[in-house]
Amino acid sequence: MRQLLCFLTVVSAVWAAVAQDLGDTWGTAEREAAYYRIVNIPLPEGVYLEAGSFVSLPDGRLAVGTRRGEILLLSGITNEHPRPTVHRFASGLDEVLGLAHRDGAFYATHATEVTRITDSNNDGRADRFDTVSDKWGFGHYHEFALGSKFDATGNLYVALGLSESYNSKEKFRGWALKITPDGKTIPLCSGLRSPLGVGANEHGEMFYVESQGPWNGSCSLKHLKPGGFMGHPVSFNWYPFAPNMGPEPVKPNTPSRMEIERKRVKELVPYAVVFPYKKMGRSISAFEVNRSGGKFGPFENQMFVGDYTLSIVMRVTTELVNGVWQGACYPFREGLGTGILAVHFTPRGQLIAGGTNRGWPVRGMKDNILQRLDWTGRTPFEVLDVRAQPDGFVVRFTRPVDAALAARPESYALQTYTHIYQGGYGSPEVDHTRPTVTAAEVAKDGMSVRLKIQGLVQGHVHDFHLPALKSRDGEALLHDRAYYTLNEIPKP
Amino acid sequence: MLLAFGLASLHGAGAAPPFVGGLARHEKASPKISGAVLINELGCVACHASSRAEFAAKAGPDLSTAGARVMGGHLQRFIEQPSAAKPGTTMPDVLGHLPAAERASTANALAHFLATLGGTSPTFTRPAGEAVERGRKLYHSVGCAACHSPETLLPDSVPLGPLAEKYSVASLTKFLEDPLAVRPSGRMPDLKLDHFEAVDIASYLLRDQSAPARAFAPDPQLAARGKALFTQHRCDACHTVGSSRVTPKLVALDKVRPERGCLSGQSGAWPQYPLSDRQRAAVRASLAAQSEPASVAENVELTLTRLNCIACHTRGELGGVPANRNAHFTGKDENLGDQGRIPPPLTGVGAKLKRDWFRDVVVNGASVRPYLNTRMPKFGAANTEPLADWFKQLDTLSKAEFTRVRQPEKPHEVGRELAGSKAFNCIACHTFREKSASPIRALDLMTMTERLEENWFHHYLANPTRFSPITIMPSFWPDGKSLLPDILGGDPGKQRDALWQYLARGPEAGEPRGLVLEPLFVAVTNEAIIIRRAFPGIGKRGIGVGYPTGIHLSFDAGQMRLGSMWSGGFIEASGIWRGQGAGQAHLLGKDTVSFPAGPAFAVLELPATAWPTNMAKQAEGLAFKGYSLDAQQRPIFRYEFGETLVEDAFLDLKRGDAKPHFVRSLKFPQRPPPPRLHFRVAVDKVIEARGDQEFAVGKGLLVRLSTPGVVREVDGAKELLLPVRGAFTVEYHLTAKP
Repeated sequence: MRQLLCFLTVVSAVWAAVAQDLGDTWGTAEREAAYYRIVNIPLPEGVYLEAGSFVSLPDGRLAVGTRRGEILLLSGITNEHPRPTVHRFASGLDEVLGLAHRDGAFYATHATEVTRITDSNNDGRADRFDTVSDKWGFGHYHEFALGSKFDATGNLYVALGLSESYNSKEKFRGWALKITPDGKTIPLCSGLRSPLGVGANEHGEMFYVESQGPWNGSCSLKHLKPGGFMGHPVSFNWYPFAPNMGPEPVKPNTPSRMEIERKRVKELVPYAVVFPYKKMGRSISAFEVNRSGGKFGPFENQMFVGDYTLSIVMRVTTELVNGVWQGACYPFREGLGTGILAVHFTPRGQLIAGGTNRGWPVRGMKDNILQRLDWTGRTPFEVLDVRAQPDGFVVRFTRPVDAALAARPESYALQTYTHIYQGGYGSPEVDHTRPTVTAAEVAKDGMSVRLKIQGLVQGHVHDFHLPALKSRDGEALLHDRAYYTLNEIPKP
Repeated sequence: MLLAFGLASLHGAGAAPPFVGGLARHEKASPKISGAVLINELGCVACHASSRAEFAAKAGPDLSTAGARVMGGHLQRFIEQPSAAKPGTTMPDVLGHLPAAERASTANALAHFLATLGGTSPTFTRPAGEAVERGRKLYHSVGCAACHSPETLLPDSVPLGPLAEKYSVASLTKFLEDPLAVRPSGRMPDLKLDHFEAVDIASYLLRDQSAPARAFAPDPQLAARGKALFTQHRCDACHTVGSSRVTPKLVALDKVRPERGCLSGQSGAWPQYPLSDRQRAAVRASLAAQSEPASVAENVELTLTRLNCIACHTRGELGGVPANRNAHFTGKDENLGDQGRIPPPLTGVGAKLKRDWFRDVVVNGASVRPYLNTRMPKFGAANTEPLADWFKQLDTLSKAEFTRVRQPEKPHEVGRELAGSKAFNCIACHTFREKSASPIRALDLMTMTERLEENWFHHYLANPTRFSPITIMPSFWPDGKSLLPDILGGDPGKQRDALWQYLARGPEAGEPRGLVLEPLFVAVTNEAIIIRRAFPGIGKRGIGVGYPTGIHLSFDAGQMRLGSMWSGGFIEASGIWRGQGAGQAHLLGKDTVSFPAGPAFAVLELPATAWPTNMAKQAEGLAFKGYSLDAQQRPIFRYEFGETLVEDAFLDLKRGDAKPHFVRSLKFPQRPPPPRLHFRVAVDKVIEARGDQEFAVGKGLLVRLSTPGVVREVDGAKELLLPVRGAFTVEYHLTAKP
């Protein structure tokens, strides 16, 4: 939900000239289907569902907040062959892009406010809407408000997109706010551009997803570090309204590099995980951590993130290195039917995915469609995760690797690059390097490889291409790519 | 069951020859071709090795879950005498040479073995009547009846066998959901049925199943013996039970003596195939011609016959829907004629479709014609992998000559214009991203460049009837001259190229002109409806409320004021629910009255103090607190003016034939209003007092106040204020004729 101007005004003229397209698919959908099956969830006549956010209720029903402002409750969504009944609990909200539930009440983050929604007479329908916070300006339809679930201490987080996606004309546009359990609204971070999801990572720390554009060379996952500046300085005008945030930061230089500017601008928080453009989405969206206890296959405690434009789902892992969050993203599943705005794990460990198809180009062109990814029980041969080491990386796998192939340093095609950190729109990949894998030590169980690398580049995406690897039983990786953003190199 | 026996009688009782669907539709097949197809279908190469791919044996059903899928009693009967149990089956009688008693006990042991595989045996549930009816409809429309017999029996149908003694509804459903899992050969392809459709068709096929089959408890000892027999009788040459099929061990196919063994027509220690004389002759002809490898054209012919593609498609003279099944090929759009119900021809398709798309169609059943009721099935990669390449080799077209439209001539914009209603009006027949500008819904423009060869696109557009004699698609370049000579200099090639470049933008292609969409009316029925988004005259924090009596309002939750009021229809929502939602709700009233911007409450030091200009979208000192809904879903708004909580409720009332009106009540439930608080009711050029509680505002509004109001002059207009001393009400009557 970010490319308004990108497609409608100045930029579009430039981009049209270079025949902009959505990029290639990964080409893995047919193989992916053997491991993760897409289940279309039929919707009853008369229901129009453009999912903006999901939450599971204690009674097992799935609540869906929609772009058209409804909260729909779906029963039977986890059945092997779902044919849910749909109950409209509430309507009259404005683009629900965050839905949480606590103590019998919904907390919907929608364009205008965070609203507490309750059914005080217990007739199954909402009858009381209390404004919890509307301490931000809303003067343009493109000013989206994304909301989180509750954190461990009961706070909600709201990430606010810029005005017209380029300016900050209304209060706190381009900021993240924290809403405390007693209803206080506290400015948390500045410098957001076009958030499309906010929530906790696998360690309970708050993050949001950002879209490519000015000051963002590519889409990324960013840590909402309290007091932090997320990179886009146009929203500095609201510091006087946020005394808790201290003085306005130094303005970053343009064009520059994140790695350089984060040393100049002390509040600047580097992108934790960069999603290289088109290869890994074009408008990444709301994410959720897989805590299904193995019901969704081998990727426990990893984040799953959708993409609006390419109708795909990706995986993400993060780790804290030298006090800075960083990590990697991995392809997971393509071929979904609509632009994904949100994903959600059901209590049975299925991944619900839904969204919208209108307004921005999208590969999955269907509207009014809800889908579910079910693990088939077969374990794909995949990169499980990549972790930074002082002298390289550890790459873990979901199944044992062919030790002979995995022990050969030339089996690992590794390059690095970064993006220009600039006020202009997006960035190509720049400053490419090719580090050398000097050793690859395969663990006894074949489940991981310790790579020793000469030429790690701090601040760069480390782009792994591993077509040469095979599982012990001779299978190629389902996806042979992983992208690690190395903000910090661990100290030995 | 009835069906199967019915067919048996058509073929003559007892040992009906093996039935091959494709051959029944390919009467002109040369003996070499029909022999090769028979060699495939009868699985000759499973025992007699051949290096020739065109002879590859049809894989037999995967039996690794046979026990959970098939009733044990059926297994026993079928193995003992396949052709008797299922006339027309391609499964040979492998026990035919055994004495009757041994034959029965061998079949029994094999059945006990198979019954142990895959879990508990199917449990009987009676098919539900409604499901049977839905299934009957599906069976006769999605394509089952292209190969199998419709309910009114037709000869030349692939036999279904005694389904009722074989399956339960659940196990047949599971099979139909993913036939390739059990029958990897793709001869029964995957019709892409969802679970509930599969239940319906299974229910229909088992409609006569009225009681559970005789109990069949696998005996471990018999099963152990059956396991050994499974290998001994070489069942594993065609079938798998978890492991892979064994490699052929007998004399190679090119060394086979065509008068002996299986082909002798005699009984012996070999599989018995009840071949007809014609079949036997064809196999022999094909064996005799082994030294000539199949050409690409023959490979295509073999595949189309083997997989019975020709039951639905034509390719040149070959195949097509036969007259006696034509009625079962239906469509959803009569406007499209036969193109809207008969699957497309395959003539020249290799020059038409891109390789990857072609592959996706045959391997995965990809399809773009939602108006056809028959479904393009999925045949799986193993059965169709080289097909796309073969077609690409066979079907060629000369290179279309055209000049590429370069950027300065804006191909995307010109193409978009050409597709629109002021030019070639492609959308008059084709949908665009599933949206339709007319009742005709021919295949979607967005699928074109993904599927079609660019070269073919040029040839086809130049002269559609050359490729499709029955199409209603016109040529826009009759005699090579464009109907639009002013666009791109009237150059036909350039115009077609601009269309191509525009369509190739895919998701980023803008909608063509004239794609007028259905309005999105938000109807109010028996209770109030709230829509929160931009409304005319107020900021983005608008709340529109439609009331069942037919009078409606918009409220500004940024300034805590009434925005407007109208009667009649509520709103049309395209502006807020289409595209990015950049617009606002369109009010459907013709008597709309708007109220002044700025907060409706203010403390005035003196009666003459000017109304404050606190015009911020989110006014200082005011805070929206939410609303509650009454039993008719009507909101009671809550907001704060400074420290003072206001409850603001609108009730819609309608008396007799009079127009509906609002009674608005404002209350201060927590603390009394501050001194000198005023409420601004209306601003207009003309406000006419009728006493001190009733006022005509402009031409369209009459208000009645529960306490006296004051009219004062402001910059050439009039302002109606109500000094607030406690709770009060305002009645609003719309007086303009809508």
